[in-house]
Amino acid sequence: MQDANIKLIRAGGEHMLDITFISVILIGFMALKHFTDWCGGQISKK
Amino acid sequence: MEILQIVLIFLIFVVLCIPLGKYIYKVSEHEKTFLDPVLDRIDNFVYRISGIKKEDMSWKQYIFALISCNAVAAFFAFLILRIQSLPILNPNNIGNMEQGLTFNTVIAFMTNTDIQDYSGEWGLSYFSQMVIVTFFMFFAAATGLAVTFAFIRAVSGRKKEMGNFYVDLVRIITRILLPLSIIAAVFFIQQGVPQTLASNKTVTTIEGKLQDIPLGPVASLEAIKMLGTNGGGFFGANSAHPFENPTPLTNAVQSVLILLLAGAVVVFFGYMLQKKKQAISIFAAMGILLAVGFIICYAAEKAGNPVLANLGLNQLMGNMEGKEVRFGVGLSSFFTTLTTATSTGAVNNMHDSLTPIGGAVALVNMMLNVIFGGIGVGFMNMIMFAILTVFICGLMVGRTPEFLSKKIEGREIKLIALAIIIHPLLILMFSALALLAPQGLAGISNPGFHGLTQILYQFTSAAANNGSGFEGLGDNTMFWNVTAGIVMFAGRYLSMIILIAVAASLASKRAIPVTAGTFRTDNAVFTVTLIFIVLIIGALTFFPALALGPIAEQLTL
Repeated sequence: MQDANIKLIRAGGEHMLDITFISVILIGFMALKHFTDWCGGQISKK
Repeated sequence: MEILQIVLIFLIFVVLCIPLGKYIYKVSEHEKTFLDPVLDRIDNFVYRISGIKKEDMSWKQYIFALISCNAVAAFFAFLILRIQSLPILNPNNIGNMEQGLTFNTVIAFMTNTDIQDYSGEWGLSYFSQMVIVTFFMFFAAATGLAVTFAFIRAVSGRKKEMGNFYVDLVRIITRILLPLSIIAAVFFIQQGVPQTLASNKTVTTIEGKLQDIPLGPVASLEAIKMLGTNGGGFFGANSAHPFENPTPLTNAVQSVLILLLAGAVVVFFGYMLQKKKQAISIFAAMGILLAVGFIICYAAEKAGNPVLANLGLNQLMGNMEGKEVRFGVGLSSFFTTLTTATSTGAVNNMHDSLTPIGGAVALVNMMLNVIFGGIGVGFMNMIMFAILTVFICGLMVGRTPEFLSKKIEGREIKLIALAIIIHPLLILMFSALALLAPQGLAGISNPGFHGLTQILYQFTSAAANNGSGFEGLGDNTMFWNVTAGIVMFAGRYLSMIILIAVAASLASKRAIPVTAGTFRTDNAVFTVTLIFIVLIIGALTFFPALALGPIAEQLTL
């Protein structure tokens, strides 16, 4: 029972790591969108 | 003889660049080509099933399309690598990739970097090799070229809008990358490069031991690996492996392919401007920097290793450590110069075994990141330096700087300064972090000056989206996978966005008539000035790091 619980926790940890990395990539792309807007602001300044 | 081969390879590249540049111009401007009757149908079919509307985009729409396309591709690539152990085109029963390595691999291939912290033959299933690696080699190269299309359209003043990202992407893949890759792949197969879905072969060696011979769909990957300035090999040894680069002829063709599209983009620029001289001046600056780099690298490698010479070992063949005897010092130095100048990253020799000065040439090529560079991206970086050159020269003579008949103002220079700073900031900041963190120091296999160069090389390669490795570094750890992933991501997209914004800003301005007082940008004086500006900025930012790494190592030999 204890072994099964440890396995379950490890599997959960693995999935957490997957979710973390995918989130990091998506946050990176969202940051690029904001960076694009910022660049737009810079070139439209008089 | 080897010098003759190298000169011949370079001449073939220059000759091929001209018609290819004109062809790229026709693809970009939707002019008629001989492939249209077939490819129009394919393209229209893709547009129909994908719901692509062929409307022009503003520069922001263009960038947003690029970002969303890349984000979706990254998500699916991550998923596939994490479940690649499933029995789909996986005859060698390769397991799932570990999370940190998956993060690194997805970003590496998405950003045209192709750093491989794994060995291809043991780390990827055939399905992953084809659906992730080969797909991204087309997709990332096409993305870079599409951005260049948009950039050149805007800078040349032909259009205020940028074109349509999706249309550019499809046309580049179907009309440029696929046809050229098919021709190159068939040639590689004819030369002996494997192209099979059969599993690895186990054979008995002459000594009576068993050895696995890895096989796979190598030729198809090899073609786009070089053509798209990707560089990620099917095998860990990359183009030093006899199945990736079996003959002197494949080595010569690979050398031409590395340069081909990056050089043709400059010719394409000339056609877009309808000013051949402008393209020649940029091409000449890149060519001179490439030639100087090769001469220094070749001289350093040919001189051999002084430590071994002092021990009484013959160094007549030069520094042969880590080099294929088939290619020798000449073709290895040439390949090293090309692959680091063009941000390809494929290697036909071990860069960790180069002499300190030879290794420094590879580093400097990537630090400058303007000598042909990755498809289009290197060219855009060079244009950024060209704008900076006219700005500095304008300040010196007290005249408002102009580039391609457009006034250069503070807002463009601010963004260009930011783009120039981002590259060294990523390299030096992350190198410092690796030197401070125990996890970073643990990767060093050769402590001392060489160890510093190993760290510097890894982040320079990542920031320049090159992908070649010094390979002495133990980089398949969570620390290295994550930090290099972040550097590749920022190195790819930030400067791309800035340069498109600058191009859009220039496109929105009125053209100024050329007068006798205009600072000309299409002559030898400009070429020389541009080279000096590139070298001065490079030296100011990177010389201290180089002095502590390869230069100190050379002086202590």
